[in-house]
Amino acid sequence: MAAPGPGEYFSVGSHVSCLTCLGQRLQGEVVAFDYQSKMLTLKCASSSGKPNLNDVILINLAYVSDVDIINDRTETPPPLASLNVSKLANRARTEKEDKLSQAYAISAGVSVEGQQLFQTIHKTIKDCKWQEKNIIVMDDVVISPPYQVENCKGKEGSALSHVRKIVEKHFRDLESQKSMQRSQAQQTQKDSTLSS
Amino acid sequence: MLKQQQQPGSGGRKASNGTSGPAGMSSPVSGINSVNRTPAGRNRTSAKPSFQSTPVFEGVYNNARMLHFLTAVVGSTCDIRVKNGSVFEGIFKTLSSRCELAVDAVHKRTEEGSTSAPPRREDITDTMIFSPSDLVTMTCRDVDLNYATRDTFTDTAISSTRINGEHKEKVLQRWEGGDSNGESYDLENDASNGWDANEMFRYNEVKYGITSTYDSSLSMYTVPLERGNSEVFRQREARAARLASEIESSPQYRHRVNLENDEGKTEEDKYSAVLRDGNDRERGRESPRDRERERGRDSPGASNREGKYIPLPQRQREMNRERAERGSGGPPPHNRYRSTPPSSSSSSPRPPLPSAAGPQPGVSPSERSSPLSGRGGAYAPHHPQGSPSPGPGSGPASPYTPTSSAGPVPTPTPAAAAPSSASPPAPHGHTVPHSHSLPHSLSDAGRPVNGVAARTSPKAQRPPQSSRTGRTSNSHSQSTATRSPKSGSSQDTPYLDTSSVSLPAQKTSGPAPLFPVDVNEILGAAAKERSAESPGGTEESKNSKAPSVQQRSQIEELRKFGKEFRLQPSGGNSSSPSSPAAATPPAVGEITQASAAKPLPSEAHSASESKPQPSAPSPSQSQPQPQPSPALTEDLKDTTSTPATTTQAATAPHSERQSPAAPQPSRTPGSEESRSETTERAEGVTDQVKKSTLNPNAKEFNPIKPQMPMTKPNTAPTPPRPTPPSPVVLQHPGGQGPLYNAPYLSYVSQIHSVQPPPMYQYTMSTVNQGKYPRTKGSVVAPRSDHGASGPPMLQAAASAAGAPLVASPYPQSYLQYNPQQYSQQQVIQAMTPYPGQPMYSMLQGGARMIGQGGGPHPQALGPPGGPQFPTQGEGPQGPQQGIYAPQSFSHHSGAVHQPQPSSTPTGNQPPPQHAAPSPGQNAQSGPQPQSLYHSGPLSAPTPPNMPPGHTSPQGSYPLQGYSIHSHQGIPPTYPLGQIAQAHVQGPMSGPHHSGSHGQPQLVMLQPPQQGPGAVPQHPQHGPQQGTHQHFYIGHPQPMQVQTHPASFHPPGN
Repeated sequence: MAAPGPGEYFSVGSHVSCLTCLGQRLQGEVVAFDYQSKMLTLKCASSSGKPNLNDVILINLAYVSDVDIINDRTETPPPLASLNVSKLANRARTEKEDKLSQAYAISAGVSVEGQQLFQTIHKTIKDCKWQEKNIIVMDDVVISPPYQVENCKGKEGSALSHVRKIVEKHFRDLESQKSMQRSQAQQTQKDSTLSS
Repeated sequence: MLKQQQQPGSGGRKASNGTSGPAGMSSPVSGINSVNRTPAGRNRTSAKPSFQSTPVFEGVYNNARMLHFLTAVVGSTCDIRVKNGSVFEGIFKTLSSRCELAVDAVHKRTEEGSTSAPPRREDITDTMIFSPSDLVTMTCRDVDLNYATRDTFTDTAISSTRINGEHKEKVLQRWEGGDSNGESYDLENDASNGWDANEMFRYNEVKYGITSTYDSSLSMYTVPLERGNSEVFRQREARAARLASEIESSPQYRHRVNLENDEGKTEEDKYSAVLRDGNDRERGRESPRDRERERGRDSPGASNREGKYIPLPQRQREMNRERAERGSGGPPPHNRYRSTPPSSSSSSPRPPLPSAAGPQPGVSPSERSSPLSGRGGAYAPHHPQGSPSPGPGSGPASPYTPTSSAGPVPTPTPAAAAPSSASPPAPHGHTVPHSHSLPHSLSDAGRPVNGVAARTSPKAQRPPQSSRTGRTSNSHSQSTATRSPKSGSSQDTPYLDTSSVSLPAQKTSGPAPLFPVDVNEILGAAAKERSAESPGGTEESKNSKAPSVQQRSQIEELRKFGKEFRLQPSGGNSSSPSSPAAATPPAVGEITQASAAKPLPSEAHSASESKPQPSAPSPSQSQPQPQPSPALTEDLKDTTSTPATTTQAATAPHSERQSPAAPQPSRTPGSEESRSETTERAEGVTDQVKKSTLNPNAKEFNPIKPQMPMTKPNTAPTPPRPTPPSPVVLQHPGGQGPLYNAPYLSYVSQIHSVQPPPMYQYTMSTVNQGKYPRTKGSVVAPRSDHGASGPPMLQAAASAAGAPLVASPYPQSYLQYNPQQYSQQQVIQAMTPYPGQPMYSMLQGGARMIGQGGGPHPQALGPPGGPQFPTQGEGPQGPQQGIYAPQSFSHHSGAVHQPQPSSTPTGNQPPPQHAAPSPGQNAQSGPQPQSLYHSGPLSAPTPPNMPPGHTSPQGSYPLQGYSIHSHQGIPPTYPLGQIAQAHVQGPMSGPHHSGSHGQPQLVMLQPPQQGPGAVPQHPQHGPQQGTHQHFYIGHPQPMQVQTHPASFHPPGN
C-alpha cells in the first residue's frame, strides 16, 4: 500500500496498481523502473483484448498515489532481447505518415463513408493513400466520391477487380451491420412492445 | 498542475529534426569549422561512442530495462496525459536521457479515450517533446512488444504464429524422438516414406472420427488401364517402351535432366556468392602484370576477374601494376603526382610520392613511386590503423626505411597495406608514422620525404642533391632513420623533440592534422622555404646547392632504393622499397605491393603493436628526449655556434634535414659527420643501406620496428647515427632561416634519404599527428598535397621527401627522429629557441611529429617542388621553399614557436588547399597560411584542406590549429599535426579534437592519395590521432619538452 520510499525499487515482474493524480487507476506488471526519473513502466493486457498485444504505460510516479503492490515478482525477469532499431524507426515513420495522410484527407473534407472505406481498404492493402478526395490504391486504382463500386477506376486488371471486390464487400458489410442494427432495434422495439 | 501541462507541449515543441532522438536531442554535432565547435563536436562525438561502447550513459539511458521497453514502443500510438489533464495522441518517437519524450504527429484529444474523430491536419503538431515534469502517464495501446525482436524461427515465434488469421498460442509439444540426437535414428533404414496413407486414415478415424472415402484406384478421376493380351495392346506397349528409351537416351534429355538435378555441382558451386576462377587466381598469383596484360588483351579475362573475389592485397598489386603499366614510365605517375601536388593539397600528396619515387628512380621510379604513392595512400590508411601501435617505435623504422627509398616505405606500407590492402609504400610510411605516434606525422613525414625527394629530387633536386643530397640525403635519411631507431636512444629523441617542438608546433597547429601530407608538404615547403630563405642568407646558397645535389643523390638513392626495395620486399626490409620505385617502377610496384601485402601485415601488426606499444616508442622517445636534451643542448650549442639562434633548435632539426638535403649539412661538420656516419652506417648496414640512403633509414626504421614489432626497419640502427643531421641543424641554427633551413635541410635529407622518412614516420607517427595538426594550421595546402601524395610520399618519397618537408614537420620529425637520435639534440635546441613550441613538439614527440610532418611536408614541398622540378627543377623548389620559408618565418614571427611550425604548416596548408595552383598557391599560401594561422586566414586555408580530405574535419583541424596559434605561439606546433589540431582543441579538448582531426587529416591525405586506402587510413589515423591528441594536449599544456615527450610518447604508442 505504502508508496515506495526513496530508494525503494519496484521489482521487475511484480504487479502494481496505482492511482494517478488525474484519478486514473492503473494496474499492470512492472517491466521497468527508473528511480532517478521516477518513471515506472507497466505492461498491461491490451485494452482491445487482443492477444499478443499489450498496453505499455509509462507512469511518472511523481503524480501517482496509492501505489499498491499486488504481488511481488515470482521469478527473475527474462533477459532483454535485442531490438531491431531500424525496424522500429521504420514503424515510427510509417505510422506518422499514415496518420498525417489520414489527417490530410480529413482536412480535405472527405466524407465519413470515404474514411471508413479507406480504413477498410487499408486493412487489406497497405498501399493506399489519399489524393485530395480520391483514394489511390496501389497507384493504380482511383476511387472517387461517393466511393461506390462504380467509382473504382483504373486499368482493367486484377488490381481493379480486386479493389472492387473489397469495396463491394465493404458496403455489403456496412449494409448488413445496419440491417442487423435495425433488426436489433426492431427486436428491441418488439420486445418492448411485447413487454409493454 | 493542470495549467502547466500545456507548457510541456508548447515548450516542448521542437522541430522534428531536433527531436530525432535522444542522441539527436542531446548531442547535435555542429560545425567542425570553429575550433571551439570542433572540440565540442569531438566531445559530443566522443560522448556518443561512449554511449554505445561503454556503459557511460546518462539518466534513463542507464536503465537498460526502461530503455528497452520504451524503445520497444517506438512507432506505436501513444496517449500522453499531462498534468493539466489533457491528452495528446501521437506516434512515440524517442526519448532523451532525461526521459523527455519525443512524439510525432501529435494531436490533442478532446474526448477521453475516444479514438474516433480522426484529427485534421491542422490539428496535428509534427513533433512535440514532453518533459517528464509534465508527464503523468504515457499509454501505448496495443503494442506488440515483440515487434522488433520477433524472429521467424524460434519456439516463441513458431508458437505465436497465427494460424489462418487466428492468434492462438500454439502449445508446443516436447519432441520425444529419443535421447540421442538422431544418432540412433537411421534415415536409411526407415523404408517407409513418411506415414502410410492407410495409417493416416486410421489415425483420423480414431482421433476425429473421420472416415476417408479414398479409393486407391482413383476411380473417380480416371479409368483403369485394361491390360489385354491383344496384339494391338502389345504393339502399343512396345511402342511406348521404345519411345521412352529413345527419349531417355537422347543427349538433350540427359542434359536437361542434369540441369534439373544439378549434377556435377557442389553445394558451394551452387550457392556460394563468391565466384572464383581457379585459373584467374593462379594467374594473379603468378604475375599481376600478366593479369593486367590479359585484361588489356581481352575483356573476358577482366570480366572474369571482376566476377571473382580478389583479395585486397592482390587488388592493390594489380592496381599498382596497372598504374605502372599505364604509366609505363615514371613520367605518368610523376605527372600525376606532380600535377596533383601543385594543383591541390589532396593532389599534392600523391605528387610528392611520385616525385619522390620519380626523382630518384628517374622516370620509371616516378611511375612506381606514383603507384606506390597511390598505394601508399591506401596503405597509409592502413598504416594509421597499424601505425598506432608500432608506428612510433618499430613502425617508424619500417616506414622510414620504406620512406627512405620508395622500397622501404613500401615495405612498411605493405604491412599497413596488407591490412588495408591499399597503398603500399607511402601508406606504410604514413601508416607507420601514424601507427607510431602520429599517423599523420608519419604520413607527413613520408610525404614530406616523398615531396622532398620527389619534388626536390625530381629534377632540380636530383642534380644538386646528387652530390650533397645524395650523401646528405643518405646521411640524413639515415640520420633520420638512425634517429628514429635511436629514438630509442637518447640523441635521436632529443632531436626529434626539438624539431617537433619548434616546427611541429607550428606545423601541427594548422595543416598537420587535416593534411598530414599537407603538413609534410608544408613542412617540406617550409623547410624548403626556410632552407631557401635561411639558406638565402647563409644556408640558402648551400641549400640550393645541396638540394640539387641532394636531389641528385636522392635520385640515386631512390634508384638504389628501388633495387633495395625489391630486396627489402623479399628481405622484409622495407627501406629498399622506395628505391625500387625509382629503379624499377613495375618491379617496385609489384614488390611494394607484394611487400606491402606481406610487409603490410607485419606492419599492420607492427602498427597494431606500435599502437599498443606506442608507449614503447614513447618511452624510447622519452628516453631519447632526455638524451636529446643533452644532445640538443650540444646541438644547440653547435647550432647556435654555427647557424643561429633559438630557431636553431627548431632549425636544427630542419637544418639537419636540410643539411642533408641542402648544403648546410655538408657545411656543418656535424651534418657532414652525420652524413658520413649515416652513410657509413648505411653501408655498414646490408645491401639496402648501400643501395640507398633509404636503406639506412630502413635500418633506422628497423630499430624502431624492433622496438615495436616492426623493427624491420632493419638498418634503423645505422640511421640513428645519422644523427649527424644534428650537426646540420647546427648550421641551420645560424639563424631562423637556419632553423627553417635546417628543417629544409632536414627535409632535404629526409627527402634524399627517403628512408629517413619512414623512420620519421614511425617515430613521428605520434609526433607526426601533433605535427600534422600544426601543419594543418599552417600548412593546410601542404597537407592536402601531403595527403594526396602523402601516402605515396610515405611510400617512397615520403620518407625522403618527408625530411625536406619536415622543415616545419622536420622539427617534429626530427624531433621524433631526433628523439631517437638527433631529434633530441635538435629538439633541445629547438626547445631553447622556441620555448613554447619546441616544448610542445618535444612533448608530443614533436620530433616524431615533425618527422612525420616533415615527411608530409616534404611531400607537400614535393608537390610544389614536383611540379617545379618537372618544369624547372631546383628553381621551383627555391620558390616553394621561399614561400614556405616566408610562412615559416611569419609564423615564427607571429608566434614565436608558431611561426616556424605554422609557417611551414601554413605554407603547406595553402598549397594543399590550392594544391592545384600549387606553385603560385604555395607562395600565396605561404602568406595566407600565416595569416590564417595567426588569424582567420588559416581557417580559410584549412577549410579548403579540410574539404579535400574531410571537409568538416579538416576545417575543424585548421580551426583548431588556428585556435591554437591564436591562443599560443605553441599552438602552431600543434597545428602541424592533425594531432596538433587535436591538441589545440586538446587544450580545449585535446584528445577528442586530435582524434577527429587526425582522422580528417588522414582522410584528407588518404583521399588525395587513394580513395580506398585513404579511407581506411583515416579511421586508423583517427584513433592514432586520438592518442596523439592526448599527447598534444599534454604537449600544449606541458610546454615542457621532456615531460610532454614522455606523455606524448605513450599516447603515440
